[in-house]
Amino acid sequence: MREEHEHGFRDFASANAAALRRTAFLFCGDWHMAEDLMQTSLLKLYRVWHRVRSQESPNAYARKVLLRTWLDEKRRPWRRAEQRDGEVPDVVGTASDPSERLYARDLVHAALLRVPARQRAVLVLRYFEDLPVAEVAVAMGCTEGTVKSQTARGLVALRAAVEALENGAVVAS
Amino acid sequence: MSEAELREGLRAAVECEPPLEFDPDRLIAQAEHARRQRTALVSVGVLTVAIIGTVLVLPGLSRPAHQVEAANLVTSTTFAPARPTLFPSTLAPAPGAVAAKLTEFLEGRFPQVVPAARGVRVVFQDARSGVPGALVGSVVFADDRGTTGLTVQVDGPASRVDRAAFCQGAKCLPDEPRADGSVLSFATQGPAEGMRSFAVAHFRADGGVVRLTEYNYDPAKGGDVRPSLPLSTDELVLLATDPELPTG
Repeated sequence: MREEHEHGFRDFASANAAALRRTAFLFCGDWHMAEDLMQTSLLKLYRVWHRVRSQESPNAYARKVLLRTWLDEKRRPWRRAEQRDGEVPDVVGTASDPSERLYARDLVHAALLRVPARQRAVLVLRYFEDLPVAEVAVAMGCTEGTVKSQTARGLVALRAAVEALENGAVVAS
Repeated sequence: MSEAELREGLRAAVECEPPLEFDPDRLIAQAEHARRQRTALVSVGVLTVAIIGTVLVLPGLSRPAHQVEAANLVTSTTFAPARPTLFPSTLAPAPGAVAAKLTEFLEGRFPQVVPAARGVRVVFQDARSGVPGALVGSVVFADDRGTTGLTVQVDGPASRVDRAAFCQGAKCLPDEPRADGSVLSFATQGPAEGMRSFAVAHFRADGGVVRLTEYNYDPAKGGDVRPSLPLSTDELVLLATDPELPTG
């Protein structure tokens, strides 16, 4: 790679590594795996950096690569047994209790991990990355209509998962 | 759960992220290492293909030019029939010293026995793989009536060719025993007026057999039927019985 391109890639990777890792964490629910996904995605991006720079937004391409890397990883046999049981505190705290915020955080993420993979990806890209439908469609490699329907289904699944987790927490208490 | 709550929940989920120890230089070094490995792998693959290709192509390049040009003639191991369609379009040259000796002998001797022949070219191929000393060759030449060819079949003593096989499918004339213990056999195939061939076989005392077949047409290309055969019986016999003609 030419020095100019390498310099550009280094700047991009330094600026976006943390954000990519966060998105990856919301996809997979594990910080170690999120770091691996981020590194693998950046390696893939490096190989085609000269093309990415001239054709497409590097951010959009990086998201697309990250998503596909995660989906590919999920298909591998040793990854199929996904950890979908994020730990939820046993007791719901009061509004003034700082543990309520902790509970809400873990509840959303634990519920998110119970949502099917592609629907989860749509929710993360739309509500965490705040991407418009069109950009999510590009990242997912599908139509905008599919993104909308996946979003709707994802929200339904997420609400059902939250409800199930809350009921479980109440029962546990 | 509203969309706002979801947004807030997702942001909260990544609040406690562990510190990131990301070194872009290390990542680039890793990517370059992987790229070099891929390049090396591809180079090894290309080199392997090139070596295999060279090994396969070199024997063909090392053939004598006259053998390549004459690669159009007879392959039959028995008495050659009088149908040009049975002649294959390509022949592989025969390996080994016997084929080289036969080629050299016929290139020198044939023009002496058949003075009218021009542009004599000789090619030999393996007739029957696994049978020692069994070779089939062709002598291509032109005379006043055009191009034609002669099939030469040489079987060493080990191949145990008998006269019944020689006459199979052909009309055989009475054998002609010779003083040295060898026997000459003659066979003809095809109608008297159409495409036909005539063969002489010399069954040598040591068990070796030389068979020569001539045609009243060009066996490689077909073409016009000649009113007579290109070589006389005496000329065929002279070639077949030449003691210098090796059989194995």
